[in-house]
Amino acid sequence: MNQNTTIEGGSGLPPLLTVSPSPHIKGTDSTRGIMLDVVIALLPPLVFACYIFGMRALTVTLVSVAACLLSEGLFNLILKRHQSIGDLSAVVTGMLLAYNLPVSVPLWMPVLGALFAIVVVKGLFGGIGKNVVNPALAARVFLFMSFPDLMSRYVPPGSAIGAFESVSDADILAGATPLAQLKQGTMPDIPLMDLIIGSCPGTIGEVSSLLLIAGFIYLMVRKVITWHIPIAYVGSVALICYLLPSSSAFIPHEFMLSQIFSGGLLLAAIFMATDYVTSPITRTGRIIFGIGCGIITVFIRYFGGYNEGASFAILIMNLLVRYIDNFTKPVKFGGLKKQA
Amino acid sequence: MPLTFKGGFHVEEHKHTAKCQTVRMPAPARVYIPLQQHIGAPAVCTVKVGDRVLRGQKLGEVNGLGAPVHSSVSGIVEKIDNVTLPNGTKSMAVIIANDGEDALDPSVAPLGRRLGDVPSEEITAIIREAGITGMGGASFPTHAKLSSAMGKVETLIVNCAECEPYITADHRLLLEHPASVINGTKILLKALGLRHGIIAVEDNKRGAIDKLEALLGEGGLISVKELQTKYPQGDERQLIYALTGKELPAGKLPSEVGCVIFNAATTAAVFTAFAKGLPLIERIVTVDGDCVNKPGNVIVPIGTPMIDVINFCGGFKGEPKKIIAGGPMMGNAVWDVNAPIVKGSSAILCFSAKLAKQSEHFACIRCGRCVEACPMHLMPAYLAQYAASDNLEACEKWDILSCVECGTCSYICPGQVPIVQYIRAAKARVNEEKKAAKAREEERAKLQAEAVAKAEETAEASPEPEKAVPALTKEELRAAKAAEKARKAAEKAEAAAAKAAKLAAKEAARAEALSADEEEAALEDEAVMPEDVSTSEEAPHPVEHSEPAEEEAEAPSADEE
Repeated sequence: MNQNTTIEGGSGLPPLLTVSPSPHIKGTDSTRGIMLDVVIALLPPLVFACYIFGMRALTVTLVSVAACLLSEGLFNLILKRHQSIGDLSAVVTGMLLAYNLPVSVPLWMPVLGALFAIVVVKGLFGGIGKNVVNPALAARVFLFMSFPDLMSRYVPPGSAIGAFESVSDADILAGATPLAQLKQGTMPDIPLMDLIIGSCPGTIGEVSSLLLIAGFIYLMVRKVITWHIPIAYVGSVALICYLLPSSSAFIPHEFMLSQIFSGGLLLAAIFMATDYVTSPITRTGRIIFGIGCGIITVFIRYFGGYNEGASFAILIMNLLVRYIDNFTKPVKFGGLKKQA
Repeated sequence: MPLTFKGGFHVEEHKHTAKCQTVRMPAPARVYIPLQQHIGAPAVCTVKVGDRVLRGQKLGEVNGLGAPVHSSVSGIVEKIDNVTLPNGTKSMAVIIANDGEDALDPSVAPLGRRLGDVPSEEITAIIREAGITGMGGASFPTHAKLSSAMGKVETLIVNCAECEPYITADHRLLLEHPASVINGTKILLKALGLRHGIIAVEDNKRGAIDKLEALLGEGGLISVKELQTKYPQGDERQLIYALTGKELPAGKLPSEVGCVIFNAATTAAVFTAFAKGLPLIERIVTVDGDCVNKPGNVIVPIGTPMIDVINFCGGFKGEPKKIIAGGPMMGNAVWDVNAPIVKGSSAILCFSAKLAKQSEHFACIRCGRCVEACPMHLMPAYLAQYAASDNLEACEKWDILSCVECGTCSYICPGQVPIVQYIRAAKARVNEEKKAAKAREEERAKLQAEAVAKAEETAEASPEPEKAVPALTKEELRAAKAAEKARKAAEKAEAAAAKAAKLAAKEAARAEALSADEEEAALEDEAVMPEDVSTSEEAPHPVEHSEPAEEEAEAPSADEE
């Protein structure tokens, strides 16, 4: 053809050009970057947990993260899948799993949980983006059902358990947790301020409400998550607790605040319910999802057999995500025939 | 507050050449003027090999929808041959050896009349004669747009959004020749008999907005509106929405909501056609990318091979890996650097391997960014999923046909999913399927009609026995018996007819199934895609590769996990 000009290239031949459909440029967002932001947002509660429960909190977390990375790596290797551990989503799963465990758990438990989360919940469903329920939460519930005693051994704040120290029965908190007390119809003995700061018994990551909220703000600023799920979730819990306290003996606003700052509600609302893969992709859908989580959480806390309902609430709502998406499909541009 | 629409995304602008004064490049030794540079029928060549043609002389004329083409140089017609256009299609082109004299055709002369004295039809005719088409990329003939908008529209919009990254051609035009744009707009307003026009500019072109405002003053015929810098602000639907609040559905023309839109360069070309009598034979092209030595804005004669423009800009810096005709969001990657600049070419971008890199592994993490950014308010993540699994029914249900393929979803996807590429491929298949379904429906109707006709024939042939009632006996019993017999016969005939119809229907169904099978097979054949993106990198050798046009439309086929 019209070869009137040649391009100066190494061989004198025209260069081989890439031909691909548009767009030809790419934004800078990446899965890895997003996951890194989540990891950063999750770090302060870990530091706090080490301070309040001892260095064992770090050990449990590291074991959990390592087990998640290892199981994902091996799973991909065995199934000859693209090696995906670089996207850091397994790190997030590992951290969240550990944050849902009490510091006292034997170290084989995070390993077992990690295997369940990564292989059963995520890998077998097709890997990142394909799982139906949140892997860390499903693993937590799996461990909780299988080892209810080990999962309920909380240590009092200020325990200072060494990194490799095993936890003896003497260290275990004898009294009831704040949530258990609320269930029994009494206000927690721990003052509200301590609940907010995190000076209370609980799992590794759930105690410091303040730092979890800081993480929420960080993720919002970094545009990793939108406000919809956490606000709708916590808001609906607050509203129900304020309007309909479980017992008339409670002072509504005090009861409401203790409900919000006890247990894993904030960790769940900020970090677990907002998991992209298992939450709706429309804004309206996210609000519906958050409200659903809130209602179920309160229901379980009021009437269920367990003190904490957040895990179950989110898992149940996870199953409804596709329906919510379907239901909240935006009206296409020009679909309304809006003629001014 | 700058005006805008809901959705979209502020894509990194890369407007490196915004400060580059336009430079006129010398006409190349040879120009390739394609006869098909517009939507519609290709122009019919009006010159012969060996003819001497002058600058501005008409080379091709069209009958129906289309626009004539003109020579951008003076010289001898060397050949009339097929060339590859920047968008990958082929067209016959008049190849002219430039004699360097730049002799103007005598037809090129200023109109020399006051605009007020020129009737609307004459304006349209002049625009048509000048071969002016939309210069924003789609290349719809401007005169046709005018005729179809006549009397139906109340808002004229000049699109100076230039929302594509890298491109600054319109920006420079507004800065250097704001009067051309304004006067062109006035001519178009006169042609349409309108009293008011809007020049819409994105707020990243502050200087241009100030210049236009200074020239126009307050309360005149034309007002300047500031748009938020956001992609795809320059899409006509988003533009109309930002300016008027009206939603124009995909697939409909702006005139349906009373708007008509012209690109900034088009209005300037209209003005040139009136002021100088010069047809559309040159345009401003932005040359940029990390593989060009001297990026800039060049006034290029139409028909100049892209490589000549690149060489004028100092040639390649390093080895180019991807060359794009048009913007990086919706432009076409070319495989032949000899493709000529056409009326709709706004940019040439040369990317090195670094910028041309594509990720091979991707996974949707359902972050929802594409849903927020989709200017058509679709759910790209789901569409891509359905497209990948070939679920065309779901694609259609989720409004795949409303996708305008702006590419915002693919751009922002953190999971690196080639969303719009999947959608584009599936959209084409949905359209094909629709066409095929329509053809099948027609075929079925035909067969059914035949079957019915056949059945009626049989039914008519058999009721004979009715007449065969023995006439010799008048007894009622016997008559009744005969009637019974006749009824039975009629029933039999009916059953036969039904059987025939059933058979025919069965046959039709089989034929349909067969054709469906064939279609599926054909689809499968067509769906054979390059193994992954890297193979397509190797395939299109500029010289050897002769028919790669269709590959463009296909999505990379890297398998979904």
